[in-house]
Amino acid sequence: MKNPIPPFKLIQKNGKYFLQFSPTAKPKPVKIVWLQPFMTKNSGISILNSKKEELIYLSHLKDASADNQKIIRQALIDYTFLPTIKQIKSIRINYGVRYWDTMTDAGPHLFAMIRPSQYITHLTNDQIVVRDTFNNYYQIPSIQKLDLDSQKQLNKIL
Amino acid sequence: METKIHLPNSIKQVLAKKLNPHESILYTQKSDLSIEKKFDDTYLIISQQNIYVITDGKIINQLPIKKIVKLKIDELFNHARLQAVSHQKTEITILYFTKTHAPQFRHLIRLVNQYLQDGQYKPHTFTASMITHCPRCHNPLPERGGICPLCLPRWSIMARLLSFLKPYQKISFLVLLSTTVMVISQLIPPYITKRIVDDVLTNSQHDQFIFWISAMFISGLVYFISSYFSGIYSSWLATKLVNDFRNLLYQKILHLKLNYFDRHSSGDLVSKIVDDTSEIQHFLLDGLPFLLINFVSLIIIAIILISIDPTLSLLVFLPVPFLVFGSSWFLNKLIPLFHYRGSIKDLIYTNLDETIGGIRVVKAFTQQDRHINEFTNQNNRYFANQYHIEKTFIGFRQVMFFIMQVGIVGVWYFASRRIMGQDHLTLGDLLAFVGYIWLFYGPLQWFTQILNWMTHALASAERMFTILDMTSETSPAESPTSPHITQGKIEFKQVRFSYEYGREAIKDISFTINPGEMIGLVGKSGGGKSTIINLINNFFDIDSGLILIDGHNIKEYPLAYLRHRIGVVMQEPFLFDVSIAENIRYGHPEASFDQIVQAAKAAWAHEFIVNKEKGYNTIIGEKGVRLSGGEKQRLSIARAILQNPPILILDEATSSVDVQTEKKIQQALEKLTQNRTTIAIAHRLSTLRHADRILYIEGGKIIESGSHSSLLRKKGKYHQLVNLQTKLNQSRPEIIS
Repeated sequence: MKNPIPPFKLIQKNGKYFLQFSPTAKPKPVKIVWLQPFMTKNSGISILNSKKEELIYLSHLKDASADNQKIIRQALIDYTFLPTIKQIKSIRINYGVRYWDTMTDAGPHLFAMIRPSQYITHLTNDQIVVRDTFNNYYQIPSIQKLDLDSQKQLNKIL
Repeated sequence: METKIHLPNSIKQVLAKKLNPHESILYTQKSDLSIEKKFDDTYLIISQQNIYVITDGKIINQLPIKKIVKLKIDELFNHARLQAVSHQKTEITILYFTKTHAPQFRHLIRLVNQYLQDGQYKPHTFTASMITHCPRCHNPLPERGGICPLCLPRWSIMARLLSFLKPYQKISFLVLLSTTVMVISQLIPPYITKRIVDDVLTNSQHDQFIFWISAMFISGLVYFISSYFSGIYSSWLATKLVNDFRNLLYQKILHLKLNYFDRHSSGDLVSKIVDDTSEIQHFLLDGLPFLLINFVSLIIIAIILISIDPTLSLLVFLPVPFLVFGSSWFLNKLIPLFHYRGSIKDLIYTNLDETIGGIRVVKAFTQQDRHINEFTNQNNRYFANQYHIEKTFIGFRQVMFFIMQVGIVGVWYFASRRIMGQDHLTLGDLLAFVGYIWLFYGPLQWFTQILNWMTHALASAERMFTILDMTSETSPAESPTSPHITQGKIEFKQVRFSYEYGREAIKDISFTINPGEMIGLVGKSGGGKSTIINLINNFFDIDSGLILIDGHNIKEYPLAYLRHRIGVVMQEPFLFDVSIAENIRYGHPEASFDQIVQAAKAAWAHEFIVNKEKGYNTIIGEKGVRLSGGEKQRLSIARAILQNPPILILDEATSSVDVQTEKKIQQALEKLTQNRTTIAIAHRLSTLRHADRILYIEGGKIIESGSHSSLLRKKGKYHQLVNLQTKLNQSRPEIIS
């Protein structure tokens, strides 16, 4: 059973986010995080206070008011950096190290990976998350939607 | 190894225009994200007056230093941002960076904040572990400060590898000798064929028949004997070398500093000891002899062929590029398939490890079908991949055979025409040619494979040498002048320590524990309690400050002596798969059986041991799997009692046992702690009932200090913790007295 969400208001000021439970209460600085950042973008949202304690849990973004939704979306964009791999130019394998030359939504990027069995997580049959040797994550939301050359490169190691 | 950020000329030019004549640069740091969170080289430049952020040759952010109180890092998902905190407590985002550059930025802000606070400037230098990209080819490294596999200095590694042959000079000479004889004896039969055909059969010199047949037999016999001894000697040598490597690696790893083990998983280390050395062994056993034998024989055969007939030799050499490049093309197709096979194998092993290791959970949640499906799927993928490899291999072998056949047909065609045309070429020349061609073409197709194999082996060797070259734990050797630990007084003086650069786990801690005193360490998980214990054991080097035991810096004590004088009872005691008696005497191997029994009695372990069918000879299974949690813990206490140390560390000694067992362990501990300096970490505060003092640790600092009652009166953090635990344990009132 879901716990009822108390009325709240989010405020954005100087790039920081604050939460108020009533108009007279002092706004508390908060951090808004996605609880399943790899899976879904509009559900599983947690609002934490400065002690990292959860103040509000939203099972879906639509559980918040329209004004709050706008701020939550912005906060999540600020909080998250998960490059999406749009194209795989090449995956070179040299002595056990895989060098990925990619085009992401954050621009061209070259990274290294070691063991695909440990560094690639299959979220579904079509969706994967890739980790590089420095623990940075990249996502491929749909392998099928990659161009054929990229799929061919990916098939070298998947 | 130290290096600094080298600013590109475009950045230097921008700065040259921007900086005033008296403004010098203090710190520089590169990030890989622009302010719009796009992958782009972004430079942070901190001068005495300003902070500049430069991307694409443009200053995109400038902040006067005098407006800033400190810099901070805001950890975000999969990246972080560097922020400046102003006097008005406003946080200004300066730039973003990925995890790749996190250690460098953490280290940098510590230096900058110190500079902002007291004007004390310390240069920002990089240790090897902060290097993420190869300084030569700029490709990302497989690990921080690791080796760039693309820039391996192959020949120097090979030379170092071969330097390990020094103790085995005699057998190395025998390998070389037998191999040389083998190569020569292999090259003789085609020449004898020529002589038999030309001299005996064609020119009817029948008197030479027995001689050449005998020569052919002898060369075959010599080949058999020499190849046998070459194989035996080279196998012994390669295996012995790898045996030495494994011993060296194992010894080295056990003496490495503890932070190495925090960065590397046990699987990673086992792989280094087993897989890397096996890779070297296979290369030394098969690859290196192949290279040596065939390189020499190829040159000799080429000379022989040219000496028989230079024109026909050219025809033999024509298919060589097709053989070399064709085999390389095929092998390039095969390598990803082999890697893929390795990945599937990893998955299968992980699946097996998890399901067999966690069989009780699998059965309890009736998830057998799910795991069977996963396994079947992986196994099918393995089959498909293996079939693909075999198919490609068959294609490879057949194509190579066809190319060789084309060469041989060409030789037969042109040579036969010349023989029929009464040219000076003889039938014997032709047969000798064909004989040598097989010897010539055969190894060529494998050369690229062997060279690739060599690179793998050298990469393994380099990984091995990296470990062998690491700094081990060092301590002074035991000597009559070495200090002794008799009282057990412990002092921390302004100790600072960080596991990672810039991320302090212990922040300027000072305290004294008097001989025989019992101190409780409490606080939230991750606050620094276990780190303090690790520092007393000298597992890590502190950043600054001093740790003294009985008035001497712990660095003055030989490590073995220091750790022998500190007894440790851990939350999850590690027991070995040997007998109970052997486990108790682990730290004191010379202990008599009576001493073991006395220690077990003191630890309340004797009572359960006598009820085991094999008593003290009971083998306890891997990690003590055949014992309950309480039994394991009592064995570990017995082990500490037998060691009889003046300092005792109890790290959550009773947290994972039931109330009945806890009572027995408490009784055992009461005996154990008498007249010893004791430091106990506990979440169950009952363990600390008798503590003389309690230190509340949070965020790497001592937040509160005092006796149980004084801390309760203070109504601070400890009081909150006690209240919380009282509520939680209302059904167990005996826990909080």
